[in-house]
Amino acid sequence: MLRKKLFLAGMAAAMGALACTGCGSGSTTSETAAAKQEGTEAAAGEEVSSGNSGKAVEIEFFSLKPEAMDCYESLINRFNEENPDVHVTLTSTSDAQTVFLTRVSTNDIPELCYVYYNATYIEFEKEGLFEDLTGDPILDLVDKSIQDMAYVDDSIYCVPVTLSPAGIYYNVDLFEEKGYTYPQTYEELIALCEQMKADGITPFAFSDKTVSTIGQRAERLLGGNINYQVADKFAEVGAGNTSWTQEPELRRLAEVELELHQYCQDDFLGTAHEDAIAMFVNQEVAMIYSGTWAATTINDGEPDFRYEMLSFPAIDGVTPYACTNPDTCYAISSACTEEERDGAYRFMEFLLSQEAMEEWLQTDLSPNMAVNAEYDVDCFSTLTKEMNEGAISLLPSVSQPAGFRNSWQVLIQQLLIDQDIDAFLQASDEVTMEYYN
Amino acid sequence: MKKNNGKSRLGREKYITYLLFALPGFLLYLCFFVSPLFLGVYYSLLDWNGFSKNYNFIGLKNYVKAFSNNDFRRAILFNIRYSIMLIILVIAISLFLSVILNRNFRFRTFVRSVFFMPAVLSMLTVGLIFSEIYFRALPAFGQLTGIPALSANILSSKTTAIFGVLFVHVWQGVAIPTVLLMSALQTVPSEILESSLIDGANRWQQFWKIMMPFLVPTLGVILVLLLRDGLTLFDYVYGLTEGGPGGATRTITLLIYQQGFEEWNFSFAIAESLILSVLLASLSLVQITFTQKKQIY
Repeated sequence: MLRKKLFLAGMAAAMGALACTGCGSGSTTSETAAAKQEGTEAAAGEEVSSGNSGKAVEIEFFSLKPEAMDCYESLINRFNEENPDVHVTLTSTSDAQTVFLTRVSTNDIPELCYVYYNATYIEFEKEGLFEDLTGDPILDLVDKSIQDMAYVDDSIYCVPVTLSPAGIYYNVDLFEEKGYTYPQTYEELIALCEQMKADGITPFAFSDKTVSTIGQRAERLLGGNINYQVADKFAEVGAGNTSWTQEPELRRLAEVELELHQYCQDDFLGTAHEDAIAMFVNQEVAMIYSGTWAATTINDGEPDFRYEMLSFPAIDGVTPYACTNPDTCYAISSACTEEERDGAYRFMEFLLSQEAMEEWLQTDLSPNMAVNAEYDVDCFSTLTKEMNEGAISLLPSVSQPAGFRNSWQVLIQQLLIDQDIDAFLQASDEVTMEYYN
Repeated sequence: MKKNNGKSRLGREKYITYLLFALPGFLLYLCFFVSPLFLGVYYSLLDWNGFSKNYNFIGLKNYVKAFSNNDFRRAILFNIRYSIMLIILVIAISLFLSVILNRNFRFRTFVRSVFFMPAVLSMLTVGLIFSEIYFRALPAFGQLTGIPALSANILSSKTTAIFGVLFVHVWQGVAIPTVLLMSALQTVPSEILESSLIDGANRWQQFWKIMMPFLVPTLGVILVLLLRDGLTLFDYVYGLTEGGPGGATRTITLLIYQQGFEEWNFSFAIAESLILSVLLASLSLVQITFTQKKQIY
């Protein structure tokens, strides 16, 4: 009986201890993170002592690009072998953006982060979550033009490496076979679509089920083909100085969207991004509108498929610009200790080295802005040539309030359903006012 | 007297032992459920964006804003409409299946497992599988059979998208209620059923007058679970429609997610979550009270 009681008491105590251990470890972690965040001497001392004991400095590299996991793992292994005093680990999850944002909200920022240069990231910078790299020699490893795009209030907090413009992917074999030429103006594009229809070919596949692709297309057409300074117009409408019913940009965008959708597959609202790419690769359609990020998926689908991506043709005489933002950017957490900062910096330098960059570019394919690396991706050669000549504009969403595009792109989806341009303009006014105030 | 004291001491010791066993669970519950709830109430009264070190106390402004927000109101109405349809369909189908599967027939165990299979798949995976079925298989079937409503992806229309999501949810959602109802049917005394047969009761009368009162407690549990599933719907919508087309299937949880993780209105998103919790708790309470009155034991 006594033995049974002792056993029960022991079990209860063990369960209690287990529960306390769980709570305890969580609390320790958060304390450490808080101490790190505040940069207290105690925390710094702790890290220094671990360094002095001969242990490698642990650097967590958080990637927002799960599709590049293999490439990063290979690069990290090489770096770790060459640098025994630094140990880099990769965190790459399928829903990376949400995981990353959750970690930011719990003050648990990885030492080195892969970030997209967008409105959310700018908010982080303004909060001082990333280290200020203004004037740092590491920026010399990337082109000046991409640096200029990544400044926030005269400071730069990341190393921007690649760009992500969008345009029309077209089937080169089909164009050659039918004698089509790539259109230079919007009117020529419509004439080409008419010709394709007459030839029994579906010109476009649009992936309007994936609402984010609608937003990506719309803002790139706006900022690259209709008005390079459209972000200022959004701010004006947001301030109540004008409205979209008075300004021409959104009306023109709506007209273009609706006209283009007369030359695409029937079920565009039921087609997701991957499905549209599959239709293009399977040669069910002649063209798709997408960003440089689609190239990897196309190549995976059919390596021998011949295609090229070019800028969307000129609308109303406006020279087409590649409307883009810095896509791959590396940023160091401002909560790093001196040792962690040094380790993260060295790994970042390694990522920007010629060999590592060229390996990375074989995975990513996006237009490269690192000065050491050779970039030679056939399908983007014309586009990158135009970009090198200065035909680049910054995405409007970069300077828009966080979340604005997510709400606005739903309105474009609605426009494609009811085809009511006036209702779209009115709803755009309301959403713009709501987010800018 | 001494014996009684011994018994009472034994009882007290047992009581302490049980208490010690319950304590870790209680502490965990306190730590992971109760404290976040109170913290949530606190955060909902701020204008915190989720990462800033600077925030202000704004009282009930987030709650006022939520109730005056059109998207939030639309999402609540969508969830309520969806929940009603979900509850009716799942209960009707699972009741039917449980009665059928409770009978003796060949391959009964195999058939039961087939009906339970969908429950082991993750919601998001099921959503993605059906996304492909709706995009490729169903339109092909619709075109083959000449049914216009099925000739395009049903998720691409504002009117039919809700049914596309609902179908998937019902397909996966009937498994657990069916199992619960089958186990409840085992509690119906066979003597009563046999007596009713002798008295001339038909199958419907047997089901409605005899079986149903035994099923009411289980139905009460299922109702609460389904109501929770309907009002907190996220995975299926995220995997199938992303809230589209044109926001037609935007649920409260999707809206909360977007406002929290895409728009950085954490406090506002938390206020919306708490409103949803209160709504869910109130409706569950009504349901439980109603079903308790109907049960026979």
